[in-house]
Amino acid sequence: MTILIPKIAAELASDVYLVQNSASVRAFFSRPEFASDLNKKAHLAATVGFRIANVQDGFGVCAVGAGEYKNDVFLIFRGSTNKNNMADWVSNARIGVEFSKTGRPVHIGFNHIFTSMLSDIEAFMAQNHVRGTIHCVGHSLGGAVATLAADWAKSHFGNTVKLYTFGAPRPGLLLFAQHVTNKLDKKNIFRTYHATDPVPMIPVFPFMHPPLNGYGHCIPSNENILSAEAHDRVKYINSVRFSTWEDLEKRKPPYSTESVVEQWLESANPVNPADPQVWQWIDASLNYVVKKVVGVALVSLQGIGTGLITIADKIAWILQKGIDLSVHIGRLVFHLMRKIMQALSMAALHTDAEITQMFIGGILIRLMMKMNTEAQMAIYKYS
Amino acid sequence: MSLFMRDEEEVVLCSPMEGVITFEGKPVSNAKIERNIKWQDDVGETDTYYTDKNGSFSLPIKQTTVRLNKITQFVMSQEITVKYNNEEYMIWGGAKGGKDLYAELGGQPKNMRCELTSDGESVRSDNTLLFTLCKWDSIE
Repeated sequence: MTILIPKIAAELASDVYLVQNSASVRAFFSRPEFASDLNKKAHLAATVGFRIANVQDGFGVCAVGAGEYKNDVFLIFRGSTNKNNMADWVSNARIGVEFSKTGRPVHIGFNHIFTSMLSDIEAFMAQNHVRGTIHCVGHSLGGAVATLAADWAKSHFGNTVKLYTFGAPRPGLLLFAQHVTNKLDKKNIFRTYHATDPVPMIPVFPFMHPPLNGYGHCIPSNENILSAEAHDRVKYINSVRFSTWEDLEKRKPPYSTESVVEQWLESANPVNPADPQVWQWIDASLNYVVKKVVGVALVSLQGIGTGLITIADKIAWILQKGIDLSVHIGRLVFHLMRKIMQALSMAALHTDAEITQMFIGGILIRLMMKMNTEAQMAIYKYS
Repeated sequence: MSLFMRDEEEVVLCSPMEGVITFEGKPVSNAKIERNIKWQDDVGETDTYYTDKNGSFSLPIKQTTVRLNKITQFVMSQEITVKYNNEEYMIWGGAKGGKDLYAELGGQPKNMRCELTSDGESVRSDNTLLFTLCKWDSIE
């Protein structure tokens, strides 16, 4: 079974941005991973083995592999560029949720872009019989689209599907992340991100990344602020150029370990709202506590709403349920609320009697707005 | 909303380029060179230049100012064609990524020569995907 090394995956995710005209198409396909070396073909029009999906809001390349990838295909997607500026997904404008091709709740904007390219991808797959691995690759928005493509491909073909993303935003809600994790298998998901890249933070919880229960391949940073510089496609190539996936996986952030998250929740030290890592800690804790409750109560998140308020309300209901479930979970919910309120610079809670569903809902809405603002600030601010 | 707007930035759309154009090894004099740059629409902007009597050409830098958010990746299409004996040859075609001067090749190519009858080759760097009939000795 084939696998792309980090450097090649990062180069493909980056180079797809540079496919701008017929000459760059030719240069792109001259890579040794691809079967369609257009330099060697006399009649370009008759060449098969690749297809370009260029629709209003999206851009993707489908290619048949060569050499060690000769039975494989590549589905590679790009994110926002100056020419095709589809950067409105960064703002909150289209944070809604709809159902993916496999019936799971995903981000409306990402899903529209993927479905608009689907007829091209289907035509390519019909034209090329694939026996090997389907490699889905993308940076930024392209990574979110690659995730939807990987989910779709796995549900339509028996092949192994591997997903490689760099600095991708969160593509869907819990059920989608869970579905992708189960179907693809965690070992086939290579979610790579700089610790200080703000894009993987958005949209905020309950949007989630596959693989669930894993923190992907985190590249630590010396900078201690979230910064859009950390999102640059070439910076990702440079960060992984000499690494293996095993190297990258070793550098897990501390909040990737459940026992450490629980310790953090229970620690008496107040959180510092100015520390950018605090949002990752809170995100991981919220994730952890909800899972604790859902795991016990078997509450389905399937019917979760599409607006910020309905989502916050539903989570508040889950957390409130947790208080009733057990003393241990109730204590975790109390600690979680305390930490969130510290991060929001709110006055401290005195008793757990103050924690009603309505109260939790209000705090969560403030938290989501604050986390979103922090990410937006890092993306847009001039530095 | 001023908090969320970026200041304007200088962007190099095409770095300056100097070289010699030949056909079967002989300099191509007074040939028309068209440089087309696309970065915001499908038409782009075309500038016209000519080789001198020795086949030499010198294309100036082309730059602009833009207002962008930082997560948008900056890329532009570059196509340089030469008209000779009623034929059109694309001596340089591809994309430049990034805003910096000489981001295409990582520096200025030395001793660039473009033979119109050559097969051409693909060039890749992290900020370039190029198919060109030109060769150069080194980048400085």
